[in-house]
Amino acid sequence: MNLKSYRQADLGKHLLLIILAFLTYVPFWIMLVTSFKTLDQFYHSFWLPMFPFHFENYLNAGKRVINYILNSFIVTGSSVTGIIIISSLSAFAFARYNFAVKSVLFYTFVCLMMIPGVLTLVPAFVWMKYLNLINTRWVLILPYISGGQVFSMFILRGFFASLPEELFEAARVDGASTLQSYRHIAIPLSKPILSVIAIMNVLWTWNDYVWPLITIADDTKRTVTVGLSYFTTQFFTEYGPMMAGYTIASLPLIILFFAALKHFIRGLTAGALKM
Amino acid sequence: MKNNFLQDFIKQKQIYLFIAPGLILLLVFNYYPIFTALYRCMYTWDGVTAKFIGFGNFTRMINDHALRSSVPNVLFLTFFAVGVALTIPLIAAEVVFNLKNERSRYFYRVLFTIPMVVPWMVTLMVWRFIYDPQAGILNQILTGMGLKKFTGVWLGDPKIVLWCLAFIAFPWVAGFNFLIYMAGLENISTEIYDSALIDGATGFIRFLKIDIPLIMGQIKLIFIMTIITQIQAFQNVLVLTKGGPGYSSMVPGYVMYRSAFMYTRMGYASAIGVAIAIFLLGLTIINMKFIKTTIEYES
Repeated sequence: MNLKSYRQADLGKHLLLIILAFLTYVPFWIMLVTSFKTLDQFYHSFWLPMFPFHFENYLNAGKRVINYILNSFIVTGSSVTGIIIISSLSAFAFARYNFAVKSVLFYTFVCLMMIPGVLTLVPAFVWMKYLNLINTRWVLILPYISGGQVFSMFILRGFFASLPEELFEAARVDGASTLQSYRHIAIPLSKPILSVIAIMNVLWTWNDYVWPLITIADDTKRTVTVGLSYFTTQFFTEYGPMMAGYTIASLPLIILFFAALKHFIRGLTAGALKM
Repeated sequence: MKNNFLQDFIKQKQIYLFIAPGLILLLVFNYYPIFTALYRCMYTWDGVTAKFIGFGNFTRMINDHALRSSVPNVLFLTFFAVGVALTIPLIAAEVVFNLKNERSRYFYRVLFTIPMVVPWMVTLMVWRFIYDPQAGILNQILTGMGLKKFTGVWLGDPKIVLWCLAFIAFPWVAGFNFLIYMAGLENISTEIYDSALIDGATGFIRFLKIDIPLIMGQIKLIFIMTIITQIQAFQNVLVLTKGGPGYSSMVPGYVMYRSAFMYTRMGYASAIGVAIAIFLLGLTIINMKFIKTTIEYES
């Protein structure tokens, strides 16, 4: 095959992918375009942007959404930090040491991967109410850490187990404690995989809807996913500010995505998750 | 000797301390609710007072009209989602993977990853806006194309509401599934491709004979994960339709949610949760017996 037929062969592929991308992005395009419009402009044409742009939509929506985003930041930030610390500690112990009830403890962790969330939703809510955690940030953070650590531990354990024993042997000979080998050998070597785990958990906690919906009734503590559904009913048919609010709510993760693009793409594709 | 034992004990104690925080959280926030569910599903329970009724909740489920309507609905949505997850992102990943130019491969990969980081709630809200009977984009497009007779109330129409729910996020390319297939394809070694090329396996033949078997692990993962997620899913229904109109978009997860948080029938809701969990556990056991899979992560 020469260069020309190579290019021709790819032309069809590009066409297919562009059509798929176009269809994927149409809703978001309409969201973005509508977010700058008044209602009149919207009814005039919904496909295309129209002058003048109404930036005040963003001000109106921002006032309400910004607090939800801040709450999500606090909850997601604390949860993911907690998940990383707690899951890496237990993963390290399971991967590199032998101790009496190791397999029992290990199965206590991984069995939870088979338990569907619907089973615990209702009793967990009653339990949180009993513990007086409803309407606090802890009702989100603690269960997120507890739930998120399992899969993270599982993946990290696999990674820690694959590290060469000589490294840890050498550290032991030099008198390093368990905590020191964890901090100075295991953690620095696993930064790429830790970032994958962080990203997966950020997406998961940021997007969770049902749990914060039932446990947080105080509007000042609502996270962005729940906040948006309340926000939507407030604006009713004012599509401009409504779409501006959705756009603002999408920005934090998109910014994070581009900031961590390399980790994101490489992390999710270099290590293959399979069965 | 004694000194060695002591050292070992201290070391072991430290190991247990490494596991303790995670374990305590699990016992408090996961295991305790699990056992509560298994125990309270035998009670009428409003969250405070409880009365033992044996299998009463389960016999009641059989006659629950909402629950009975919800089963075919959730099966439809699950089959649809599985069908989509096994085809469209796979084809897209295969096409991207086969592009000759590395930069365009990267470009499309980024392009199909961005929608994944848009909060799902935003996607749902935008789709609600698309389906809106008055201002909705769908009706406006149809009217603009002179197909006014095809306009509808979409989510408000009991005959097509399930299709509307299934079509959310059309064309279903972007997201985790795409990335997982992509990862699988990239892990196939170039030597295999070289020898395939020598044997004359190119294009579609190579896709069937080499790519598909070698990413079977990823395909199975997506197959099983999609089923497990879909059977218990009810967020879209909760946000968009509340199971309506009538029971036309009711799903079991939402029947559970409604029983617990609208009617405070915590015992009955727990029983529904237990039933769904048993069903999923059955699927998992079948899966382990016949498909023989465990999750692994290779890096």
